[in-house]
Amino acid sequence: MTVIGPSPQPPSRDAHGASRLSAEIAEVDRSIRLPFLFFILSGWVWLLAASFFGYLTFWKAHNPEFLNAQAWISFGRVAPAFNAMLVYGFACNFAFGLGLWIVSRLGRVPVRYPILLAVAAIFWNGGVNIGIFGILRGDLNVFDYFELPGYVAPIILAGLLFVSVWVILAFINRRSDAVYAAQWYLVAGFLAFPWIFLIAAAMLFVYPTAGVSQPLVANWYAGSLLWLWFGSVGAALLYYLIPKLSGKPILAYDLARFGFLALVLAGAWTGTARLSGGPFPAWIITVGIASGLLLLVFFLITGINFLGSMSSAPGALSGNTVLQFAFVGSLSLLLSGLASALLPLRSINEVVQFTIVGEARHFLLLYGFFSMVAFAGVYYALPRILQQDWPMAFMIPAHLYTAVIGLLLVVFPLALGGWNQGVALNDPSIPFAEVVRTATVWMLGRSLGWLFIIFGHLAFSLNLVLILVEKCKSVCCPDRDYAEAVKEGVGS
Amino acid sequence: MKQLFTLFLLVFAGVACSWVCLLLVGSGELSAGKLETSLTVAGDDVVLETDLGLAARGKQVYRELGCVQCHTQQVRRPGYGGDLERGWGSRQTVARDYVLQDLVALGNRRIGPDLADVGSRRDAEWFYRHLYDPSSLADWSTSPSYAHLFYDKEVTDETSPTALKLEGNDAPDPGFERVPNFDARALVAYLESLKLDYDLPESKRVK
Ligand code: HEC
Repeated sequence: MTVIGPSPQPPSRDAHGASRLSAEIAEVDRSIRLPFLFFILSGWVWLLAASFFGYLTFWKAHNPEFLNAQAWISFGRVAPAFNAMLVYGFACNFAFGLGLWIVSRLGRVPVRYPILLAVAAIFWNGGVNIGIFGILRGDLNVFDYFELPGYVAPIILAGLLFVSVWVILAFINRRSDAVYAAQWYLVAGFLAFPWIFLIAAAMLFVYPTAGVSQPLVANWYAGSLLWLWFGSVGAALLYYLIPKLSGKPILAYDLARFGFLALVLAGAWTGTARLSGGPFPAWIITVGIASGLLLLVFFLITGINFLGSMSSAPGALSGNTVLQFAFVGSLSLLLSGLASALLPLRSINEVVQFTIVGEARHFLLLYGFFSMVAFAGVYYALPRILQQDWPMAFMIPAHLYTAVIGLLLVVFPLALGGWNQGVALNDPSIPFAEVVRTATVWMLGRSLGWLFIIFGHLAFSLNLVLILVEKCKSVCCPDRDYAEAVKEGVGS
Repeated sequence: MKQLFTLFLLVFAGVACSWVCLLLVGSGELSAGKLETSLTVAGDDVVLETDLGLAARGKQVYRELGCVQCHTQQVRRPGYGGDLERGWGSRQTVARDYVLQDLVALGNRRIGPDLADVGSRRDAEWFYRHLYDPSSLADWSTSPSYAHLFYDKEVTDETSPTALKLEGNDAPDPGFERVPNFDARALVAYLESLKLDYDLPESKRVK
């Protein structure tokens, strides 16, 4: 099995080979510019929208009357709209852009027909847009992670299939013989995502079944989406970025194959663990719990490996903000993985089920892990793709620090508060009023933390807008330095 | 191509096996084909039905307003959490309870109480009051108000039975009454229908 074979040889280091390599990579970067910008800018707009809707959602949780005069802005609508924006708007767009870029770069194949990928981005984002409006006007679903109305499924699936086909073609047409871990994960993620999406949409909307098989399908999809899709793409990004940023190879690269096998084989089985205690046969839940434990192989191998590789390269982390993003992402991968494996165990689940601990885990996974890694990816990729440095480099650490403070303020209060909430819920001598009060107080941390996170998004936005402005200037007016010098000369 | 084929096989194995085992086999076990819906339990006839009429529309309103963001509709088994002790139902809910429902909002969060049996503990008047202004019933409530489901209507012959009893500032103008709109009435019909007041062979009420 060559895919999961030994670690590939580093490319030859002779001067001739090196210059050919860098020419090829520059060609790849140029070819992907248009679709990459399309995906990242769309993701960015969704990020800003999600920042606002997240604030609304979290604030309403303790101020129920805040902006509540109409149905479209009530908690029951903005909460699912927020989640859909974060998952399908922001995270998926970043995953598409970065995934395409890494597959093309590792295979050293320029992207063909980039304009068609821009069309794919229009399909995807058009679909998500219609879907968000649908949610706000009341076409939402009752399922976590499939809040989008069923009627947008064909549109976004079309966009998704396009991107997947491009990723797989880039893999088939690769010019390098070596196949890296990042490529396995990406190809697996892009193969799995359209498929699980198709199954879920078909079983929920095209041939809907009655009864509890609906939540069964929805939870199966949610588990698969989180690990097979976001887990794969996030791991791929880390496998690619960490050696680049630290200048050191991944430590136990030979173990990577086991982590990969565990993820691909067990990733689609974990979702049903969440149904524990519900109206389902015990075996369905047991299978979910067991596969969550199997995924520990993936969490431990990748998480520890990434953290180890970064810490073992002396001095690599200090002052390297982009690598620090990857570090926070790896740590969150490990922690959210442990949480996903251990929280469903029946004795723990009995307490934490239905509490805000679930929100803590979700946030750690989607934001702490995936989004932080995706930010690292964009901070690394965009200057290379545009051939333009970040204009306000000092804003990158500002983004990092606010994001980390925000993460801590969101995740820890939710986890601790959720535990207290669960203990209180299970103790009938504690009035429900008390349970609600406890949970609400702890949710204040989330609202505060989100403000920090929004600040980080603004820092990111500033850099993103300015790098594009700088780029436009240098494209439209390549002799700007000269022109400015002349103007200054005239002015003085 | 060889690598792609291997990757494809691995993903196929993971997704297809879980799909067949969990979703196809699992749904089969949970479907109306497998679970009898009219049966006799300890001498009583139990006939499960789908929601019809107003309650069926009310269930859609429940979905549209996102009530599932804060409420579950499932009672966990005795000894697993404190659902029964909290009075959220007198027995565990099982697959058969939902088998004919075309929309199953089991839910994942309990910011508010479980609603699987809420029709047994509250009545229509309470529901209207709660939807209109939750804090008038519980000052600690973090439930949002659904006052937008109500409107003012001129009193014709006699006051409507569903009109809210309001006083002071909040009262409608003289000659008017504040009544629930169609969606609110449907929603309340649905909430009233949420009752676990029958036994099933696999789950009997504890008294
Ligand atoms: C933001 C979270 C939230 C949303 C959204 C929400 N509720 Fe609630 N709900 C609560 C809380 C908290 C309570 C407990 C406090 C109270 O009774 O007011 C509650 C209580 C209730 C009760 C009383 C249950 C009992 O046993 O006393 C009913 C009935 C109810 N909600 C129905 C609904 C319906 C119907 C919707 C959708 C239109 C809805 N809720 C949306 C939070 C929410």
